[in-house]
Amino acid sequence: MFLSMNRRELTAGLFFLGAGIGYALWSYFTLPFGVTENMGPGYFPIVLSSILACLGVAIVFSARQTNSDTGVGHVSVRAILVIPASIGAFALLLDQMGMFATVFIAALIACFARREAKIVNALITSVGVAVFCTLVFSYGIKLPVSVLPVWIR
Amino acid sequence: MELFSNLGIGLASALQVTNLLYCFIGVTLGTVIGVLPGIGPLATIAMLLPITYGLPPTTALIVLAGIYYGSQYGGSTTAILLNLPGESASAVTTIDGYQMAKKGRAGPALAAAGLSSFFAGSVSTLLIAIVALPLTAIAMQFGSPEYFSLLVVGLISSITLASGSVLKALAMIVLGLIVSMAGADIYTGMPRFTFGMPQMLDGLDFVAVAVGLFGVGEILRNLESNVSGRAVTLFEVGKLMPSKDDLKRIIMPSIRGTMVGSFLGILPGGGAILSSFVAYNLEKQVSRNSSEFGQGAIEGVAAPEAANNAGAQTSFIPMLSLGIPSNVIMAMMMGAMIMQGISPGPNVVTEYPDLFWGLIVSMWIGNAMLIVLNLPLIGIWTSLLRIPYGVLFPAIVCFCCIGVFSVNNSTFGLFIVIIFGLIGYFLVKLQCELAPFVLGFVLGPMLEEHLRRALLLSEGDYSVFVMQPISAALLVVAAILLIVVSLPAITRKRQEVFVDED
Repeated sequence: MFLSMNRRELTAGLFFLGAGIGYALWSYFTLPFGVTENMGPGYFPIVLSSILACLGVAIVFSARQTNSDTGVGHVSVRAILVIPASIGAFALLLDQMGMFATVFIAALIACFARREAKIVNALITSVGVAVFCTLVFSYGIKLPVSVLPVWIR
Repeated sequence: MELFSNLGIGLASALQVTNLLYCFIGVTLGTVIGVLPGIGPLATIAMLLPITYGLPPTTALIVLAGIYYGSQYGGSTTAILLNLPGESASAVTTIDGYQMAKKGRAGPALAAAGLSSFFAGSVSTLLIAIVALPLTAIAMQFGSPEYFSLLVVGLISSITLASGSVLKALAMIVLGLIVSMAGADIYTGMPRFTFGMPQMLDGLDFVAVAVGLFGVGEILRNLESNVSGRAVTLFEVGKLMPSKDDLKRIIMPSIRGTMVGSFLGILPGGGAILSSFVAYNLEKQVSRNSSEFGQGAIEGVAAPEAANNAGAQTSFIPMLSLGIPSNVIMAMMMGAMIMQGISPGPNVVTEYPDLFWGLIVSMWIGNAMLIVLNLPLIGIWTSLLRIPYGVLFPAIVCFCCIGVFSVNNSTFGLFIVIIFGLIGYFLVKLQCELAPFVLGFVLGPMLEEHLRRALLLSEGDYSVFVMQPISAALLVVAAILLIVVSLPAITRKRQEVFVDED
């Protein structure tokens, strides 16, 4: 039965089912439910997550009626790994490295999300973005972030 | 008449130098991102929300609004010259606009787009001024049951924004509602879904979620196919002035487009995109020159352009007068207002008249600025298109990071961005629409608050929602909407309408 289902719909349905069950259990074990005239913090979440789980089941069933197996289109695994890495690098480095260096490194990492990125172009782009951001955000808008790395001072 | 004194308040507010300056910045920025493919008003507004925090509330809204309707102008430029809609709402303009460019008539096409947009912008500004007050008066009588039902209508109608299956859209709404529950509970102060982290006590930061879903998600989608550069043949713009015949031909389409856009913009779920598609189809049926449509009929440019501008502006009405966002961008505006400490709702008109009327008047001023900006400066906008995406997207990533950081001066939000960027991308690949999720996320806390309060006051009696007339009527509307949107005929129409978007 599962093999003839539309995989995309099936995955979506299972996701919602899982999320619904997950949230329901999380709410049940951590939050008081209360009564209708005095709803506790857990009331609405449990109701909603139950509805979500039901919708998930409904979507799984609808996957049987949707024709054929539609794919999900092209996915760039490279981009999925590199962009979060770039954002994570920004988050970790900003305090210590200051605006200019952090933006430079984050932009540099981001450039490589494209397979055809070339090192020279990436370096130039990153410097450009770093300069622009430093001018606009540190000097223009005056964000409270040091421009140069903390350990240089 | 009250209208004139209110417009007077608005003028006084909108003509302040700061507001004029920021209006200009907003519309210019809007035009730029409208021209650039790969970044839209949604992501830009999400990125700039934190920066507007330091501005006075009126100015903040003026800038963000300027970006929204400015992007409609910018999108039509690329639609006509390059067959590339910079904005999804301009997708229809490509049909006849590009054909006109190929025939050497790019100039009149651009002029028609600009003029009809300006007409639509002026009319819809007036409409907002007229309609907003009576609507607010009705809403003043709302109690918690009515608010709850109104929010339900708003959420259900967001399904019309989605082109996919109704079930998945409903699931996304509910998911958005649940996710918004994270944080400290309003009544008891107990932390919910916070992983024990103190930074989560205020709830998930809206900006981080929005930037993750739309900014990062959009970038991931653009990077899917390794398209290094588009072969761009830029048409000569040539003479800008349309002939007298052209001008005569665009009058009625502009009027019809404005009417369509104004009406559809107010409906929850409406806005620029739907308006432009419907206006084009209507014009095609009604116009004397319908045979020319598809080969370069100037009416095919004027009507959708008028509609998308009118739709963009009138979509402010439900948000400003009732506190119900009719589309995702309005949800952003509400986010901005909430950040400034203003609760959107019917009391905004009476408590903050200079904000309300100042915003409305500045929309008209913004339209005037745009018509001056767009037509003579076409050359600059088109040269922006030569920036390769490979240079653009690292910059966008960094803007997103800086923007989210600046909300709380903390890098915690960036992890939210990553998580929601990945989840959002995952869900979009599964063809689950993001708009219902965002609406659920923004409206969730209010929905719960009114539900709990209504039940508290009625001592657990659920019938309060159907016994009070306005609330009952609204719930019936929601039910009808749900049925209508699930009907197969309507499903086909929705898929038709949205098929050009990608």
